[in-house]
Amino acid sequence: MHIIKLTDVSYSYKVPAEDDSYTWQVGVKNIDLEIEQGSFVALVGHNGCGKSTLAKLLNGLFVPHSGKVEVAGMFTDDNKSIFNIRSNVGMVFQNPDNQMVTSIVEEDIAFGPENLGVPQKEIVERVHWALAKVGMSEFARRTTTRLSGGQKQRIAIAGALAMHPQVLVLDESTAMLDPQGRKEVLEVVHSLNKEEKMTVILITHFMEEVLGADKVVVMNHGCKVTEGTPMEVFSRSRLLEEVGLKVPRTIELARRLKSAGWNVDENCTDATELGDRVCQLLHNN
Amino acid sequence: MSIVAQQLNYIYNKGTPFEKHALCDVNVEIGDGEFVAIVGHTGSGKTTFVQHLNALIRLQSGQLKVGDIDLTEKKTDLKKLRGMVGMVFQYPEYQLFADTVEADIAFGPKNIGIDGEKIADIVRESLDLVGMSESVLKKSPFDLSGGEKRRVALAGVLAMQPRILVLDEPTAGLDPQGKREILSLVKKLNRERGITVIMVSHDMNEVFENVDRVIVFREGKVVHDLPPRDLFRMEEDIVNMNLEIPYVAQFLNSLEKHGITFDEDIRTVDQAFEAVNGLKGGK
Repeated sequence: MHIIKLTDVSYSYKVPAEDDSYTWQVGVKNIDLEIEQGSFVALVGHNGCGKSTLAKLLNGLFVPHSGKVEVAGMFTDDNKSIFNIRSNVGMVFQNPDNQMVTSIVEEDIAFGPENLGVPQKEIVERVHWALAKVGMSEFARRTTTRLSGGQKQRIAIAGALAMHPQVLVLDESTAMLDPQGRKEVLEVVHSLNKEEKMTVILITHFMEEVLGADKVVVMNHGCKVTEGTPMEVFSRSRLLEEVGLKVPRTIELARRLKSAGWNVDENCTDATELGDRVCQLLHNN
Repeated sequence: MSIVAQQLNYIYNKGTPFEKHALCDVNVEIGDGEFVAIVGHTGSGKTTFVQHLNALIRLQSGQLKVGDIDLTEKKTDLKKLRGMVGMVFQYPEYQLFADTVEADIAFGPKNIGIDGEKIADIVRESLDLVGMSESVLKKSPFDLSGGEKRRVALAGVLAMQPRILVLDEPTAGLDPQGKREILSLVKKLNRERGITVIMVSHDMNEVFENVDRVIVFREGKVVHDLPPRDLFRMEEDIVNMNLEIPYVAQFLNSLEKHGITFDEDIRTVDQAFEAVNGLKGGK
């Protein structure tokens, strides 16, 4: 069952020209995409390829100029549904500092449900639940400004969770974090996907991060250029190269060895294992 | 231009309950024309250290010489020092401010009193160094893409014609293509212009592939100062410091455990592939 379905979706930006006229710049063009309920989807592409435009179309921040965006049976161009759609699709953006609305952690998380008119008692429950889900329970009464980048992003995720969304969209939410912070955020979203069956859409250009996804969608110049499992997509390395992306280093090495006649697993993602295998082959012959 | 730091110590909020010993007895020597990476977990002191290099942070104790300027002396020529040491902060594109690319790049040289005609030459040369065409000169820097903005910001620093370039996570937030462009540019400045480059980075793969030497900070101390291949051989130590082991290094370490070593200095996937594929047997 799909939870999100895009049918021939296009969106362009109005760009003012020198005289009073304007031109249109393509954001996304003719996108068809289905996202299964409970799946983990990675959306990749270089800067300016249309990934973020697509994300904003998913919860009705943008309404398509042509085509339809369906979310949980509702359409984003239907004004009556838009409120419902937004509480169903939680968004987390790139810069952790831009997403904090209050100075105390638990107040920040309560902001969303408060706006939805959730009863006070339930808000408290939701805040505790959301904090536990991101592993930050002990930070409830801390100041938001004193957290690390990874902690701030986990609070932003908790804020989205408190709205009880069915879908979580992370728009390059790991791009500004150090490796430790990236790891923390990724662990949280993977566990939400597995334990809460939450649909996760992860927008990134760290190719290592797409390894755990069910499906990878590659974008370029506003169009979807290919989709498939991580390994299917990595096997199209020339295409990836053309759109400015790169296969993770270990897989690249494994594939090159394989095509040169070495009997190694071309989908190997562990460099130590790959080294062991090479040694085994050398030893046997 | 070389850098010599001896017994550098720095304490934030000295004498208050928030006192933090950010640098402890740091000894570092960086030679003219080197390409060095500084790595370490968040809060390890690496930024405090690099901010000493152009006196954004004034020396508290210890000795520091940058080129022929001795920062230990009471009266340091800060203008000269800051012209010599170019500092590129994290997300430098956030510091673009002028109406046009031209005015933004010209800001530094104008401030130190270089005359108009010469400035125009410097602006063009800096833009050329970062691989951008003159057609962007009249554009607003805010109309450029993320990678382009960063290159314009870098051109603004290069316009001061520094001999030492300090870069704080120069590729953070860029896509793979943007990362490659910035790194090859920095390498070119190092190789062709002989500029000493000090790069703070969290990306160990990037560090492994590009630099001659890695300095590791931990809790304000320099705990390692080694060529990348030697550093990343110490897998357990690296993991304990919350750093990652580059993929190619992991692969080479695994081969070494089985007694397979190579004479050449292997850093990239290409080099690893060529070396292994050249071994007899195995296929």
